[in-house]
Amino acid sequence: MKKTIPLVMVAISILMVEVAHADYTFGTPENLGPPINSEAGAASPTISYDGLELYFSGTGEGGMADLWVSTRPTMSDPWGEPVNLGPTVNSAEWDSEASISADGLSLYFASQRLGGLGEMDIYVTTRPTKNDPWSEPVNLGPPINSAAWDDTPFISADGLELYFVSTKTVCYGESDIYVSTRPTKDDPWGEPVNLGPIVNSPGWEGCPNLSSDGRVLFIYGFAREGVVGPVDIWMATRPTKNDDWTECVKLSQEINSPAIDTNPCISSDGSVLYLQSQRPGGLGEFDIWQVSIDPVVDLNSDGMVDAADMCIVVDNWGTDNSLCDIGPMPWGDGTVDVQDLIVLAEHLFEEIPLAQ
Amino acid sequence: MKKTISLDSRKAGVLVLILTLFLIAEVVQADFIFGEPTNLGPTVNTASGEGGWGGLSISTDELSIYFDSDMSGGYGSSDLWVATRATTDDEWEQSVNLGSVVNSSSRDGSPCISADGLSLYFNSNRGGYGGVDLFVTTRETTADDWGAPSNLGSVVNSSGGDYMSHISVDGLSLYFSSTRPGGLGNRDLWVSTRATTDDDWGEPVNLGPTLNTSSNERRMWISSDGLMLLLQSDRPKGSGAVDIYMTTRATINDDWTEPVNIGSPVNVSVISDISPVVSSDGRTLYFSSYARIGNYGAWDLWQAPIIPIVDLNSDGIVNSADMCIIVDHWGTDDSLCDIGPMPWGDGVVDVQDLIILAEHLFEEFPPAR
Repeated sequence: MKKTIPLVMVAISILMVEVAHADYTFGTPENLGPPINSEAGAASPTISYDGLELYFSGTGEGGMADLWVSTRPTMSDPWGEPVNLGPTVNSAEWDSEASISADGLSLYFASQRLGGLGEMDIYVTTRPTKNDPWSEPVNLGPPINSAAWDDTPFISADGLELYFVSTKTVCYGESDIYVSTRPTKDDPWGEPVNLGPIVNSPGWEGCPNLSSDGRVLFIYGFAREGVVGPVDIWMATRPTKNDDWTECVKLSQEINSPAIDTNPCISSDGSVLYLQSQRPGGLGEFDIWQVSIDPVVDLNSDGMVDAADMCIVVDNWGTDNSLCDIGPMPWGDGTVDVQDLIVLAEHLFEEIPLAQ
Repeated sequence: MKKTISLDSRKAGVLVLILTLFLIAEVVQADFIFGEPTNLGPTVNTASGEGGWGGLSISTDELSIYFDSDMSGGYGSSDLWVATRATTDDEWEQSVNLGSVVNSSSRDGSPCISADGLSLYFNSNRGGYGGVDLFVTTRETTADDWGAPSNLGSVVNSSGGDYMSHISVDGLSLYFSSTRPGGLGNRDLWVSTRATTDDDWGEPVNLGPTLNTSSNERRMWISSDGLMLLLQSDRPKGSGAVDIYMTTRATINDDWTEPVNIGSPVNVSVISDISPVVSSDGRTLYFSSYARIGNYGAWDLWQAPIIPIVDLNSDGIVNSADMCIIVDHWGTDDSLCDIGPMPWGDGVVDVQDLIILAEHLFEEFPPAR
């Protein structure tokens, strides 16, 4: 076995050039099934950072959207029966598009309830601990909310950035994504800033959802390329969370169906993308689906994760080679380091079916 | 011609790997070493004796070191002192006496700080159940002053000498040395346990003949994972004085094997090296040494790095060949590869060992003779 390693390594150096960008793949979308999905429909999922709470919008009393939550004791358990967040949080009007903070103590959402500044406003409800009930929601007020349509909030992992979509002072298109920041969680939100022309297009954008490392932003896009087609999920990337967005691409047709695909939500470890879709195979008008994001760990594509793959990581140590940059998130962290070895070790000795 | 040469060198590489496999069997216990000791310096050590009356103790954050000393400025005989530093990269600041609430005019020594930093165990001959007794002083928070010490009571303390305690990280086991009857001769190591930190200490149990001998076993230290134990003993086969001995085990369900003298460079011929204590990250041994070259006084506090052997194939460099050896032993308890998260490993070759190897990747090591 040892004898083969030098040979394998020579072969690898040739192969590497070809597969240099195949550092992660999306799996096949799976319907979450009952009890999350039902004939009543389920939409706009947001998953807690510990992966044990799934908030989503479903039909409430009177037929308007309400916020619901389903929980599971551990990651390997099935989701429990959904519970309506109740009259303290939900109104008689439209309540949807929730985003849960990393500590699980703040829930941002959009609502058309009476008393807002515009047709749709962003609200937040809080709780002292995860065992407490949610408080009476508070309108975030200006400069977040305006007389325009302010919708689909997303709170960043550090709690200092609030992304949302708005039709206020539109710069690039029909609706644009903005971000508002604050120096600490005790400070008020600053003036919203347009995310710029890589993310925003002449068409529609919405449902911003940022990975916990801040390097990947999922959004929905409609008519972004000037062509009216289905609503699809797009993915913007940047080298580090302090950089400008450098690229925004539409996810492949394995993820995006010919029907509406929207409300992307990435798990805190980057391994699962939740989305709302109208594709066939659902139980209601809208269903929640999930798709896995898997790092490509068989670096030399020999069908097995083993020491030869580790050698490739070591050969590229300290570089930004994307083939080897598979951790801690599937899209790496820009450096080949111990995080990549840890991911490789999780998959050690797994047999990987060879690509055709 | 060149091709032949390169092929030969590749063959040689394979041969080296094969040889390594044979060598592994020989060096199977050498998964970490103790590095060259260094003196803690003149803010801690004085012309008097530090750590001579039983030793020292290091806080979990490694920013406070407690020790006994008979330096001037105390309350008589030996007192308890503490030195602190802002970060582990800083030098120790000038040591401070723990004050008259804790210290007495009698011999107060051998401090041991609990993992939460709120209890300080020590021994004193200030009076109690006879000879030397174990005491504890506590504080509400690490910012508070220490309270008046209390005697650990007649279950722990005997009419003989009871000293040099070590409190386990969970606060439920108190190891100490005692001259009480029922041992293997002279001073032996004993352990008293309690169900919760609110319970009383139970009847002490002798640690048995693997750890104790007819010689004097005194202060011991056990790692938070329960897999590594150091003790101080003047048993024969040592360097001629009191030495530090070590034993490890793969799991906490295994029995201890006979402790081995940790030898040079920590134990030096004829001089006494006592009170072994290891930092919570397992990377530094602290101890006290008598009349050692480099001392400021009779007894001084020293430290020595604990270094995992990461150049597994001993080829002078940490690289992917070493990683291959780990992968070849994945899931086994091979101690050569079991170098993390603590230098003594955790009983299984896994990602913890890769992480340690990665910390040292591309480091060059001078070839062993």
